[in-house]
Amino acid sequence: MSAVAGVWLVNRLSPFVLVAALVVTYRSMPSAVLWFTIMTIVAALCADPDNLRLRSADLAVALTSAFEICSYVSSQYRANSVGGVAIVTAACLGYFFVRVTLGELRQVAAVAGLVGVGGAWLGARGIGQFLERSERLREAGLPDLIAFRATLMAPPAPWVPGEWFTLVLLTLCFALSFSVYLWLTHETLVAVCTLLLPAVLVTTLVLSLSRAAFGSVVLLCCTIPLLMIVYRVIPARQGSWILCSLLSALVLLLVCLRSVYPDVISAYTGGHTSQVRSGQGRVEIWERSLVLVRAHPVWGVGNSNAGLFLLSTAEQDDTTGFASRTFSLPVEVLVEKGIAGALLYGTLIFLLCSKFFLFMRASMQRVAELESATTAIRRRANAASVKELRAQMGMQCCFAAGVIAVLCRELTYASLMEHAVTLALFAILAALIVSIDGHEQCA
Amino acid sequence: MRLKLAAIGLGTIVLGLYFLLFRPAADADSYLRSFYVHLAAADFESAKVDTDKAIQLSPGNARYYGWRGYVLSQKLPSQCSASSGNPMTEVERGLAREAIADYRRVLERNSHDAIAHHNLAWLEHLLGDNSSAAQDFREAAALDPGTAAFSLSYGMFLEEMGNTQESRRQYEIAIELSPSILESPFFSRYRTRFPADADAIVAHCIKRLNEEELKRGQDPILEARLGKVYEISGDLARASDLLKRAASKLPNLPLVWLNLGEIYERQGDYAEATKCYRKANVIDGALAGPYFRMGLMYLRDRQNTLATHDLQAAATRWEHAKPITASHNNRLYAGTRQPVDDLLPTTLVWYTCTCEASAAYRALADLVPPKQRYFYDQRAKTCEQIPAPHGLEGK
Repeated sequence: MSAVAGVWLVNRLSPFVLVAALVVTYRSMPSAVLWFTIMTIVAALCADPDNLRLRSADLAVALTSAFEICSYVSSQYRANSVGGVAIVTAACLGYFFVRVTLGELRQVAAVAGLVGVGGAWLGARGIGQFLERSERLREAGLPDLIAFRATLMAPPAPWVPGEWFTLVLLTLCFALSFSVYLWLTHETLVAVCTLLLPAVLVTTLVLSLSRAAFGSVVLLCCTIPLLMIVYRVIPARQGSWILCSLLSALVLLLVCLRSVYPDVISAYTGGHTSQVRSGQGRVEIWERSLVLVRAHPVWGVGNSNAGLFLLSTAEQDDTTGFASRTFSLPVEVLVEKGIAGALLYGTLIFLLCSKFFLFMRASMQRVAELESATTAIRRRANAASVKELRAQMGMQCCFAAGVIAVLCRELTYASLMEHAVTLALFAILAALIVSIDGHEQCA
Repeated sequence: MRLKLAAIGLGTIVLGLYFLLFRPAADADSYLRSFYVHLAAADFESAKVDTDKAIQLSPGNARYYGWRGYVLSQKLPSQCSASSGNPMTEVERGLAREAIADYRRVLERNSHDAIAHHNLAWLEHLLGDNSSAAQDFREAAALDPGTAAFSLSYGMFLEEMGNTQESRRQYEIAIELSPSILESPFFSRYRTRFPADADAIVAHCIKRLNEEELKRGQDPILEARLGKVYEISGDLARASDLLKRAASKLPNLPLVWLNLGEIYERQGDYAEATKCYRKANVIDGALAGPYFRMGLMYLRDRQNTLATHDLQAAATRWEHAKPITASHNNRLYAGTRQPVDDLLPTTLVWYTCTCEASAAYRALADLVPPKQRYFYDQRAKTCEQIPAPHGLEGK
């Protein structure tokens, strides 16, 4: 009886516990690890064992965790690596918490909604800071906002704007998936209302004046409807209409913002001196990073040590600035975790992709089967299952698009592994891709 | 079921790691926070206790040994005893040896710590181990060639060793990286010792920066550096042209606006100068220079209330911020943010930076009521009598 009560409690509370842990993680790292550890152990003890099947992606995440713990020993400067190991292990625990507790679509939607609300709150604060700072600059006779893009939004220390934009981008995936869920479960009016959350987040990312962040938003807006068309979650005509609407909304937003801030559009054409220098600096840093990869090929220099080791490869004539990071996630993984780590993380991404494709293919067939019922009574009986399955597929498309958008953004900025909350959100996205298995449930 | 086991297993391992590794590291870092508070209050005894506790909890963290070495060095003379003619006491020698041991522990744990190499070199030089000092100065400059202070220190060391040729080369490197050194107490005293060499350094910097600028095709950072050197050498027209070019390409550089404001002020265009200072102030509110300059302009216009406000704002900012290495280290070492510099000797940063604090204090001493005058007079004297590191003044 108590076991049943435990399962019931875990199922009901898990979305809220997870979001509370993310809020704690946003500010404080050590207690975040303890929080994630306790909640994962308690959830695993209380969880219903029938729902829990170990998948290859779970194994890869467990292996990644083990690798990160072992890599601490081989780190070139261990004191720096403690924080990095804590971040990865906290994120892995977040993954397992989701895998153990979140199987039902409503729970997933609740998490997506809560994360979306949190993200919109952060985004609104960012927009407020942008308005205030841009006004101050204008009053001082400094109308060129592109040069000041790194200071227009000021997240709390130790966040830097670039890392914070990745966090906002991650929450955007959740906010969009929440709207998609409501729409596909025929709560159209509520779905339209919830579009306010992604609207705030998109505005924040457009005002970031960061080309990578904006590119990721465009990619996200294109990938979601395209995936939904490809996997027949929605008819092609409807999907094309959504794609056009999303892109038109983006263009409209840009045009509106341009009337107040003329720099917004030129920020995304990339001709400003600071952007040219930023690009040149990145290329120089990547070249220097390759020197480090050659020097430490197998295990890398250790977590969070890239900046320290890049220091000693600097040239005196460089004027592009101090290299505190590698400015590319793949390069960072290679430098800090070596080829071994890169292979492991590569495998993890591959397994995630394959899980997504397998699920979508199976679900597509299942929907076809359910819809091909011969009698009208049967078709009506199957309608609820089809609706649920479509909602699952729609959310999966949002999560997959989120993973793609974040990884593309990280090609030119290494921020995913800097903070526990960003990596935990990414791990949650991954866990949700693995967890939602509508085909099994419907079957 | 296996997923459940995996989650519980991983959770248990992480729980163990939390108590063995993560929590002690976090606790040790929290001692660093109280360390900074004690350091700012010049309570070195308590600061040392904080580092001892941090080391006890996290003996692998090089940063704590570095800070303990720094605290132990606070009672040491800033000049090398051999040059200044005041031999160190046995207590001072003991402290220097302890600090050296701590910096060596830093390098055992993290051989990439350029500051540890630099500070160790200065301590070794203080105890007369000049060959080790030379090696460590070179290591510091090689590890972090972008920090002008390392080249300056090495140059001072070489000058003291009698190698004026090589020391001049090191000064040139430092000034190319940070031309504002030309306005520092270091350079004005160097000029009194070697007037011809000082002029040659300025000429060399102009030549080198011009060559680099030609090679790179209008690099705004090089333009800003070259503009500053021209400004100091008195060629205001060229300086203004270069700084304007730099400001149009990268308007987010506060020092470019500050220097441009200084040029306008020297040319008598106070309205434009004020605009430039305002821009520098909006871009970086922690910068003392714009407040100081505007304070002097208000003083000239007899707007004493505004002048007092701005000069006090400038003096406050000079007291706290000399971020040569602090902002650097925040990004290199994980953990608590470092608010202060950790370069030894502690007078080095003041000695080698543009600092008009004494002028601000002198102006304030005339503006404030007589009761507060003594305070500002004393501060002005302290600023004006910054001891030169490495005993160069004694020669």
